[in-house]
Amino acid sequence: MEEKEVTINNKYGLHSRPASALVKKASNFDSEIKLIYDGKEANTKSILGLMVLAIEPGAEVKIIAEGEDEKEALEELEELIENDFFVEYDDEDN
Amino acid sequence: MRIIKGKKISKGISIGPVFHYKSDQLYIPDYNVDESEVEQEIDNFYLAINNCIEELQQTRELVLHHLDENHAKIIDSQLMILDDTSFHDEVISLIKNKNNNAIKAFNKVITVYEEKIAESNSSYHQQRDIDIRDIKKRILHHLINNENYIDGQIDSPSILVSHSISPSDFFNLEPKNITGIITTEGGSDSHLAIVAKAFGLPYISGIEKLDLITDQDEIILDANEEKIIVNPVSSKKKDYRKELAEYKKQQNRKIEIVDETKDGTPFDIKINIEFIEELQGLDENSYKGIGLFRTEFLGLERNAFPSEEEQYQVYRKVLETVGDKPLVFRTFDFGRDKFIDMLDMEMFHTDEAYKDWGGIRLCLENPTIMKNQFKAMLRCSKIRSFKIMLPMISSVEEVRQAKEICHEAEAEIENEHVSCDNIDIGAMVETKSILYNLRELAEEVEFFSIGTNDLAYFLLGSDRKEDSIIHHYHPKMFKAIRKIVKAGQEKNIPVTLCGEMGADPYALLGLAAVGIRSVSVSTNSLAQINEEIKNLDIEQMGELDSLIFNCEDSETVLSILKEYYENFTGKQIEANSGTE
Repeated sequence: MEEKEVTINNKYGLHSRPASALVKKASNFDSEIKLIYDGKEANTKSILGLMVLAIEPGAEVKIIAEGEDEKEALEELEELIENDFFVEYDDEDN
Repeated sequence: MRIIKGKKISKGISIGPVFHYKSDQLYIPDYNVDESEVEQEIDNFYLAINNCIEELQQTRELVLHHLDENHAKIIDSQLMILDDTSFHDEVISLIKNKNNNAIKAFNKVITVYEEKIAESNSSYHQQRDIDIRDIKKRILHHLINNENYIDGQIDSPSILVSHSISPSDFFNLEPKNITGIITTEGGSDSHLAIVAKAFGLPYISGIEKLDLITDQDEIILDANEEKIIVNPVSSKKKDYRKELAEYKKQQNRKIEIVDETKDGTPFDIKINIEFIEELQGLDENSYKGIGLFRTEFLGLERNAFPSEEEQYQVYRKVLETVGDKPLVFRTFDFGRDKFIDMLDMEMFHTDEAYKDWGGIRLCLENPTIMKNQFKAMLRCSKIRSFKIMLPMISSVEEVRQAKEICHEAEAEIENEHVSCDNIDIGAMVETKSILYNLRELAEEVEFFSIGTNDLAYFLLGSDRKEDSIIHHYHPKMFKAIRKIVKAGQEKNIPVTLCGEMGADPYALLGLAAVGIRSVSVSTNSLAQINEEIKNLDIEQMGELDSLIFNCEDSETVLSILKEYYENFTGKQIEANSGTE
């Protein structure tokens, strides 16, 4: 089992677009990957599960991966989160 | 006894109990299923999910085509919700372990997610909210419209009261038990208004305080006087019962459609419809044919482009219903507003980028949409003959392109021998630029239809939303229409006028003067226009056309037409009394 604490820095937190990027990435791995925020747990392969956590910008979350490819999974998810899920916003200057 | 004032949408009177309907809470059946039906329920659920995925993928393609990848990605989160296997498993488990029907199971699961999001109390949850609401609406639509679940809720005649009602809500609620409609939202050009008029149901809108009317109340809905009387005293009720009986007698009168004017000039009257249900209020012998069958409602109702099969079923039903009467289908005519309305997903309304989206050339720019529509129509050509009309044609090239797409559609229909060449294809003449190419256009099509509302817009810049009726009398309109009639005569192709102008008794005189011999009007104008044609004496009109052409503005033309009308008929009418 591997785990890591990361900060969500997206402008609007983990809303549907970053959440769908996370699900897409997580689904590439066989490992079971959980995300824990504010004492609540969600399966990173379920977008609805992630959305209802209502993760706000600046939130500290813990990611736990368990399975054959847990190391790679964690590395790639960390990269994704550090890059703000590669989501661009139209209203950048609002 | 309490009186509430509102706005008349559709005339009539109704007396009876009320039925409150909450449109934001779709009807969720509460029953459980037998063990043997569990598999079927699971299949129903997956079928709904797959249909939703197919629809959203098509929407995604459109977004990508008209905007960019970054906007298309917004759709992805909804697609991913549809793909979310842990969410599927939760629904399936309720069906399997608790024997819930699929709608009930899905609704339970999605409600838990909705509640969790609401609880989170985060200021950032708006988009999440919207995605879940959009997807819930879409999945429920597919589940509920699965015919296994159709279940009328109104079991005795009642007046329907609701914040807002969509036509599909209306049809799911057992129309035969609806005797009147009261809503907060909804204007006279809404889809529900069309349905209410078609069914001859009184309808009042603009009622803010619906809680003043409770399920225990008996009410009088008097749309003619724009009022609702809650718990009327018995003398009032008696008066209204009498009036209602009188009114019903009048309504049941059959219309005998004439085929010539008073002086024996052949004249053709057909009707414009967009819901097959509009025909239900009409006696089979009371109309001679459908001059315009609009197809946009299929998309507006569904918030997606309907599939080929879905369209085929509707077109087939229409053809079967009208028997052997002539019928003209018009291909999708989505203006920008309607297009956005159609794809009504809340997320589009929150994003500025969609404001300028859509447009007239939508179908030609997205040939798959048009091809699917042609395929559905071509398959119907086995049943009987009909015509196809292309809207908003602004160049002859567009007709050629559409025909090419039709031939592609023909080639893709397997196992059946159908051909576009056996179907008459016509053009709506309603843009300014096509007026300069009428001869060339007449070579390419089998008939012309004149769309007066858009023509007025293109010729005179009249806003459709404004009171544009006055533009119907503008000399430029009559000149343009004369030109179209002549171009049709030269090539010997029929010309029909199918806008609101043909339903205006004054304008109708001028139209007859410039050579119109065929109109297609809405069902609620049919009786009046039939009367007008019956009394029309074209021989006596003399030089009315040149009188109109010599005028400079709409007001002068209107005064001439009024004078003519009054001299002819010896009666006076309020302008537009018939177009409502």
